Amino acid sequence: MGTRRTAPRAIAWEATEGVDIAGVSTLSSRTSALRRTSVRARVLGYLIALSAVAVAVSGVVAYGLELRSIDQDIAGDLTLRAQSFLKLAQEGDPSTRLPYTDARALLYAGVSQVIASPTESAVGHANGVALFVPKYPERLPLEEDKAFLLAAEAHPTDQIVVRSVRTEEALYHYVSVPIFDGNNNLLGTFTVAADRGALVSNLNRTFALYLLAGAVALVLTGAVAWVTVGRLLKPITLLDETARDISESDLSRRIPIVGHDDLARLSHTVNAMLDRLENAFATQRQLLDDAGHELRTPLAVMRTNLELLEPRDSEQVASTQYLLLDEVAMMSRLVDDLVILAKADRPEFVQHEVLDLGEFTDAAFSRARALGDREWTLDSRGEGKFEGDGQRLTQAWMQLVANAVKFSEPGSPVAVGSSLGDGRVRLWVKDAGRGIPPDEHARVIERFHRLNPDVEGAGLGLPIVAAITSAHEGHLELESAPGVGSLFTMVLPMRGSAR
Amino acid sequence: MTRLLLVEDEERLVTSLVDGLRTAQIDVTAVGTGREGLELAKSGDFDVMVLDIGLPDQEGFTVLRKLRATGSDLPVIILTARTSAEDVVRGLERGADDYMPKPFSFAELLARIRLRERRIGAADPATAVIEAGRCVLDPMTRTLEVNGEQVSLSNREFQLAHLLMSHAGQTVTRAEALEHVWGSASRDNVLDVYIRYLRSRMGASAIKTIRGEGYQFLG
Repeated sequence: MGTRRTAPRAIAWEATEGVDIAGVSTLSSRTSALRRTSVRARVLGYLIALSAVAVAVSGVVAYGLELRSIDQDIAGDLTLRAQSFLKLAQEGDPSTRLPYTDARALLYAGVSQVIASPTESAVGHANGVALFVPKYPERLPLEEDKAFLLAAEAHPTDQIVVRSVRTEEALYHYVSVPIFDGNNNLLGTFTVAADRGALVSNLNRTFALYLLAGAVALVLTGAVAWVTVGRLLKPITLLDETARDISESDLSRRIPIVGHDDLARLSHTVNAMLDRLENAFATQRQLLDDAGHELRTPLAVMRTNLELLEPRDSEQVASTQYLLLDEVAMMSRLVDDLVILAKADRPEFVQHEVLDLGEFTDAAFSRARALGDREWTLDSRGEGKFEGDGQRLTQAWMQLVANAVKFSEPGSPVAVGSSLGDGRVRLWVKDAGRGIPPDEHARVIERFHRLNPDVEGAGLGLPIVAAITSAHEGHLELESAPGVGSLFTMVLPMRGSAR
Repeated sequence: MTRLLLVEDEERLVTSLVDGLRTAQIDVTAVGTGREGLELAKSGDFDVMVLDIGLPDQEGFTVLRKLRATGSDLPVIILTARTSAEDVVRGLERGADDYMPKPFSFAELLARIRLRERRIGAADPATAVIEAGRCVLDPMTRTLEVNGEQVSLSNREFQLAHLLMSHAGQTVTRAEALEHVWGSASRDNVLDVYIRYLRSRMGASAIKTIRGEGYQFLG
């Protein structure tokens, strides 16, 4: 479960990289396929390695425990048998309650009560020769191993001690109980023994089976994991394909979002990025479209005039030249303005510096007065420092002044002013010109929107002012009514943040 | 004379178009708004309409739709700075007869106007080929053939040649010629320049100067 849970996180990580590759650069699909496959193979590799370690560790531990329990079992078993033999020797024949007088009879009775198995048996012996064995045909043939019988007789002791001996036949664990007569002569030995080697090899066979089962389980795990990881990675394949499709065809397509996991979140993120991209492209296309539209009209004027030009008519040549130069000048202005607007989104568009509002206002006012014969007044002169791009702000302010002059009568009042407060700088121009109807207020800052087509200009002045104010993270306010006049105010934050 | 209604708000373009079309024997009435354009178009006094799409008061498409809604089949040539296929289709679907993207060629606009006016039927005397003496003048191609040799003429050269040749054997006064070709009698010296040019093409004897009056085409 632990590995399953961490797997998607690892995948999500890879996916972020993968999408970057597909979306931004145009790396070949083979590279990303390779990466994806390697993620799948890597996850599978980790999974199998981890499972293999788990199987191996549990196997080794179980094997060790099993081995210990074999030894304990053997020791316990042998001790028990030896004790019941001792009991027999001390208490005598269980049916008659008479003690055995004969060592042979005791050995016979002792061996008879042992239940033998192919790994364990008993033997009554003397001088390396077996006297009695249990009557089970499937018994451990101790009686045939003379070397063992001799070894079992070699250490007579009156205590129950589990010993081990290795003969040519097997590795035995055994307990021997010697029978002595009154003169300390060894009459015979009762020995119970287990073939530890056989028991261990039984265990080994079991564990060989365990290993086989473990290997099969690993293969099965691998197969299931391969399919599962593949299925988990499938949304990424989809993401990759969609992202590639989108970059190749149109930007309006979006990645379908399935579920609520981190892959769905990733798809959301990619979709949001696509939204921004599409928006940026649309804005750019609109600007280009507008620019094309606005440049075509002067081009049409120029072309018609050139086509109709009579080279032999010197007067017409002169007037056409004058007209076309005028058109060219207008187109140049238009191109300059469009370039400013196109650049307005870039960070380097405004270069912040500390400005003194009072001095800035004085400079603007004296420049404004030169723009026309109006009754100029300085409304208010703000005092203090603020941050902004002096050149751009002057350009915007002068644009507002030029508009005020353009849309008002000679001699009419035009006021310029500035103030500082609430962390904001306000720069304004107020005229008593023709004013703007309320329903046009929002549209005047649209590109190429002109209230009156008879007035010269492409309709880029206010959009530029708006672009400069918003590049300063401020906004443009407008109060205006037809016949009363207009008040345009640039509202800027005092401290321009480092955009 | 073809009567053309020009609905275009760009004054500098209107000035040059009116001037150019007049030299091609087309009588132009120009207005700058869709409302005025629609009013005049509905009056039925025009043979062809040249309509700009980007008008200040309403879209040219709207004017066209409203015009077609009145049942008018006045040939309309759309003039626009929007050149996408979508715009072309939109224009044609709303009943435009032709579509000219800016910046258009004046010669092409003229050819298209001619095509529309011919479609309405009346064989215009302004487009008939004139043969006089050794000279053949084709108004459609604006070419002059002198002894089988082709000469291209500018608008005003053509107009002057056309005026003189269509009055072959008669005297055309200087005032008439100036008024017809330049629209005013004030450009007196220009006339001499153009006569000199035509003589160099047609031969000095083709145009006779009637002292104190004007010129006469002899062929």
